[in-house]
Amino acid sequence: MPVDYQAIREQAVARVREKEQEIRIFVGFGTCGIAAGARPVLAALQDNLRQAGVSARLQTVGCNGMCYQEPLVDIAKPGRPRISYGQVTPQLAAQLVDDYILGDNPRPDLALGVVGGDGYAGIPPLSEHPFFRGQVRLVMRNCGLIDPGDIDEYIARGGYASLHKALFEMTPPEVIAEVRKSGLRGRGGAGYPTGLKWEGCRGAHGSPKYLLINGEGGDPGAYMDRALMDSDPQAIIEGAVIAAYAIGCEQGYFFIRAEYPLAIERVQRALQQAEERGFLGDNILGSDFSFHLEIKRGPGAYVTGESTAVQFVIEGRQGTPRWRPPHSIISGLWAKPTTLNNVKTLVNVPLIIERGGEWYATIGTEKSRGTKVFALVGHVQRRGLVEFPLGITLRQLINDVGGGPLPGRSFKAVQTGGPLGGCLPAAMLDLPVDFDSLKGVGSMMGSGGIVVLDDKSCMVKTARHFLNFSVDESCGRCSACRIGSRRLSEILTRITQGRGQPGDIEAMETLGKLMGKVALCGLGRAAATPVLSTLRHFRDEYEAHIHEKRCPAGACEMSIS
Amino acid sequence: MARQVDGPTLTLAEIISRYQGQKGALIPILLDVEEAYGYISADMAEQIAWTMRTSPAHVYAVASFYTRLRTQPRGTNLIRLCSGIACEVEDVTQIQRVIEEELGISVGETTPDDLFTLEMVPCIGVCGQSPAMEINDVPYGNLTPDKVRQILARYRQGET
Ligand SMILES: Cc1cc2nc3c(=O)[nH]c(=O)nc-3n(C[C@H](O)[C@H](O)[C@H](O)COP(=O)(O)O)c2cc1C
Ligand code: FES
Repeated sequence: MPVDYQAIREQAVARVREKEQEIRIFVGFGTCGIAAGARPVLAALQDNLRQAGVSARLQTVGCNGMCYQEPLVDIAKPGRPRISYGQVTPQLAAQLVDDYILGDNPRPDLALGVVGGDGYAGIPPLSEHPFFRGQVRLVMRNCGLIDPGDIDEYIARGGYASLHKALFEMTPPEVIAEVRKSGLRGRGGAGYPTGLKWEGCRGAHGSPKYLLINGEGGDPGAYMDRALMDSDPQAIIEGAVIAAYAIGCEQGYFFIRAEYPLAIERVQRALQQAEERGFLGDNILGSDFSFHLEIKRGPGAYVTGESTAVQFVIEGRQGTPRWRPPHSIISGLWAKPTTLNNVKTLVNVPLIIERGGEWYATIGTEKSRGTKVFALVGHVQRRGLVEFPLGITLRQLINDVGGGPLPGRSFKAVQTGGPLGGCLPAAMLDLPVDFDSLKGVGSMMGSGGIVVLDDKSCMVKTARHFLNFSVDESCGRCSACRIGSRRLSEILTRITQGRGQPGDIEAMETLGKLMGKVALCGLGRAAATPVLSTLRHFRDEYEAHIHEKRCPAGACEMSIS
Repeated sequence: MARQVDGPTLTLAEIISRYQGQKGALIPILLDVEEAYGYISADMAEQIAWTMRTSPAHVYAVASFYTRLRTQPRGTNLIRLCSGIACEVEDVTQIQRVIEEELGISVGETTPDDLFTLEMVPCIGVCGQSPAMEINDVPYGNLTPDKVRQILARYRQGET
């Protein structure tokens, strides 16, 4: 007997409404909020409320992406809109309790904006803030808004309606057809069409079939996966259950780096609540479909985010990639058909089921449908996580959203795609960011890291940073990656120390191209990209280092001595 | 997190028995041992190997492959300073120097009083707050030399 979703939804709405009868204070409590000092702010709020003798509901929420404004505090009085305040210190928290909780002054001078509505008392909507203007928040739809520890808040916003729809109104092939129609491509970096992957796995011989969720979130600088797991674990789980239904999996593993304890805790709690409500486990929502999902902790190594390595870790082995074929959808975990999806990929799925593949395909560009979450970091005024339709230009991201370089500095380069991506100069800022455009100029979108570098940055040193990373993270199984990365790193180190030699540039180009052809996995094949892209776009900096023993940015060791 | 100060909360046998009969149990066991004891000793590796019907060399190989797993004891407070790109461009090198000066150790070392171990790790996932570090899994962002000195002082006075 199908469970009545409407009844579940109404109960959840009623419980959330009840909370809304009180004064509510929301504190951004993702890992990033905590890092920015949200703990003492929370404590100050508790103390001040207690001293004042007012009862208010203090709620911890995830991260809305506005990292440069953390710690973030929102206040919602009954019948009034929710107002957001940034860079809150314990002192400022006390002030807000005095002025707006006890008094009636929402302090428009301190407010960032009104969350999810029109302006109020002279405070503009947050959606008009330059950081949020134009954002299309699909993946981040609940981030920073809901309490990740309370499934009712997810359900009240329509959560699990899509799972109900998929189970009772669609066959598995229909779910796959809808996802194919949407044009959704994997958000873990490689951009493989999600529907196609599911179809291949569904059709593969062998059982059981496994679903793996990739929450390794390993790209340095690209921290959106961690933020998503901290902020909205239910959306990932709902997407996963729909995926499992479509493919025909009864068992799944949620792979999360052990270094992300908060994400593990929140996902664990979310799994438990989903199971209690019948969204997970045996006979989901009264259907004859069962799916079990379990966390597997990643013991920490960048390469374990790679698809075959994830499987080896779960099997209890060393996380070293293997040669493909066979592809995982044919022979993956314990040699069974296995689908691996990134957490962000899965969070798109409930929306596609709810509103249809055709709707989804209207967002983004011809070959890159939908939105992408970007981590905008480095030398910009506003750092954080933002979500835009694919095809937004680098210039829009850096200048309009990020506010451009810091005062007195100028833009030099943007590094995209994580440690296996490349650096692009100012002349390329009008390129659209999608799965394919940046590849043509020697970089890539990858997982969506956007690191802005200003005029004080040395491009040779930047390349050296990434090559040192690859030396550390190479699993050592194939010599192209193990030895190639080390050789490149040695040459780059020499150059930054003023000991570059004629011929170094050519040697690096030859070696880098070779690695791209013969390395075993994506790490080795792309490890030279930071060198090759900087050689392509910033060759004169290499030449100055090698021939004139001079670092134009004044950032290398030789310019210090 | 379990700390050595009060002694580990679980014995090795208890940890191993949690995963009895499960496939792929080696890594979860090693992670739990790491959490309870701060590292995986040669003795423990041998015991784990024996119960799991594998060789100590295999257990050791797996343990040494991963950054989260340690084969050497560490100090009471584990500092993990981020060396990722977002932190690198915000001059994490300067922060590294301050910590090394304050503690009198280099990256990879433990203070003689066993109070601190310093490690560099690539990205702790708070890149919007770079430069950043974690102490015993508690994240600290937007670090400046002064801020780091204050945080270290608090841990010296017994914060865990
Ligand atoms: C060295 C390396 C590291 C990777 N790390 C991750 C990661 O941390 N998270 C992730 O989702 N994908 C990572 N990937 C990509 C995965 O191999 C895989 O393509 C992806 O998880 C598939 O999911 P998707 O189709 O939903 O994107 C990595 C790939 C390579 C080569
Ligand atoms: S790069 Fe330092 S926290 Fe990510």
